[in-house]
Amino acid sequence: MGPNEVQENAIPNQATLINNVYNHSVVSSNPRATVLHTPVHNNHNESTLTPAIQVSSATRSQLNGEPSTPLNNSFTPQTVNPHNAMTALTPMSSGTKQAENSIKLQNCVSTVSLGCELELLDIYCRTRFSEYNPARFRGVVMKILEPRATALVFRSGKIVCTGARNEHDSYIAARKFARIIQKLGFPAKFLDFKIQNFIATADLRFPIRLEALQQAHGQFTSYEPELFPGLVYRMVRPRVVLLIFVNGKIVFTGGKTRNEIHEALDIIYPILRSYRKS
Amino acid sequence: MVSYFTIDATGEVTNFQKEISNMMHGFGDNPNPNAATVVLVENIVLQQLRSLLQEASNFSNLRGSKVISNYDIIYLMRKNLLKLKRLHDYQLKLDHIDKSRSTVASPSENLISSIILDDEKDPTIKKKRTHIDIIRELDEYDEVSQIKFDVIDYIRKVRAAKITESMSYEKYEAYHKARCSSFRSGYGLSKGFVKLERWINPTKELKITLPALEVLCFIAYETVADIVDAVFLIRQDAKKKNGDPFSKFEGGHFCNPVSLNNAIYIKSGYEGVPAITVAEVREVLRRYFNPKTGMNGLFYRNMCLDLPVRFVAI
Repeated sequence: MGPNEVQENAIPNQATLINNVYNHSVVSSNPRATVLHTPVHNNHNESTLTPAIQVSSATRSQLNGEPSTPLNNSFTPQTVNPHNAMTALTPMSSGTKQAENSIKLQNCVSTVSLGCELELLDIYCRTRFSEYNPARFRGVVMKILEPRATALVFRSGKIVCTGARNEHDSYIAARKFARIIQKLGFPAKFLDFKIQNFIATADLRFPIRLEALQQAHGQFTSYEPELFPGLVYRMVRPRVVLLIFVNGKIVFTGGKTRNEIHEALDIIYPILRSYRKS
Repeated sequence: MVSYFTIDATGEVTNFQKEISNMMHGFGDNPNPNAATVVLVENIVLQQLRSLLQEASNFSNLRGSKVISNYDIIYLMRKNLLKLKRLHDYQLKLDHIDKSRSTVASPSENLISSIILDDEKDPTIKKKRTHIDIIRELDEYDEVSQIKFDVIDYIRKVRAAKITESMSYEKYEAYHKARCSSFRSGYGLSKGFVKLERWINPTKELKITLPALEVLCFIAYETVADIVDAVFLIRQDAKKKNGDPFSKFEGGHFCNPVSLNNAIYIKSGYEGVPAITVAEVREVLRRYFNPKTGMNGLFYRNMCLDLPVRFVAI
């Protein structure tokens, strides 16, 4: 009897505990919160992101009835089969959300100025993983492995850093390149670091009839399949170029910030939706 | 079918039959174009390109140059303003596509030119004479820039949009693939013309520059497109019935700008399009080259009364 009583007392606690754990795991198991947003923007993004997630988890628990799964130890015999009252709710996100989630940054291009003249041959001779072929290209091509990035170093002391996956990596890589050059004995500073270009891909998961899109948006688009299989959509605001393909995949280029790419997708999604090929 | 023209000096066969069959599908022919028609169209294109090259080489000899450049070929096109305009636009699109592609592949290229090399201009990049420069030079009265609306392009695009309207996804995918074919074998600017050059210039007796090959590629594509366009025009003529003013708006031939104004009457027919026959292509050629069609003829290209022009696309 004693242990039973204790157990019964413990049940509500446990249930709430489990519930808490469940809610918590919902928050942390959302992979996009960690994957999509890099540490650089974290303090900014966290504040906008977490309320949204909390709202969604709250609505989900409302829909399902409070403890989402009937636990063995909280089960009491009921007259009606509880399964009959339940409606199957598959967690569906809207198409726009799905498309937003499919955005994947592929490349990030940044520039920085070191504020001093550089001796390219010297840099080339004293660094590893670098190429210098003045006949082909007037700049040293340097590579680092962590984060994987490539830099083009010019005599004027300007560096173009490409190949990094996100703005944070790009920044780290640019700092590392600057540090390497500094260690070679140049008075390198780190001036006007700027992200120049984001390249991202997204997948809408439905085919699009490009001919019809071309007809309706003639002034923004150019679609010449014999030259290039995708449709080039030049969006004016935000200033982003989209390459749209028949299978519903999109490539964004020319965006200066992450927001611009999301904005562009928000604008283009309903348009493409209406030219969906069933 | 191997024809005399497609055998080159080494004995190995270079032909564009698959590409041409795809192009015809893309322009609105049946998904499975008639094989004999494809061979005929291929021969026509090859003959046109070779005689075009002959004339261009004469001009380049007159100019005293050893190679055929794009100048010589554009010079041959100078009478047809609409085609000059199309070539002008073609290059604009090509440049734009190259730019947006290069930003995807290696984004440094245009960044460098825009921000880094402002002060130190790269001497290794030679400014090549583009088609647009040549068109500006040849077009003394600035007539090309007066053309604001490209009718040919518009009609082809409307036709493609109409055709795809009622297509299932599988068919649309095949159609899109067909439309992607062209006379260049790759998307890269330099490597794409190897096959074309082997086809039109198998013995390498003529030296053709890369920009010239680009123009030739454009002309070859235009030739196929023009033939298919003209076939639809012929079909529309053939279907005209006395007493039924709307008979010509029936499905399968969307080519007349007047009928496009009555867009409601155009049926989006696609399945029903019969494959283009050899006879129809021959009729097209007859109309192009028949001197008796005269100044008022629909197909009459040569507005001044010197020697008749013998090229479909120019």
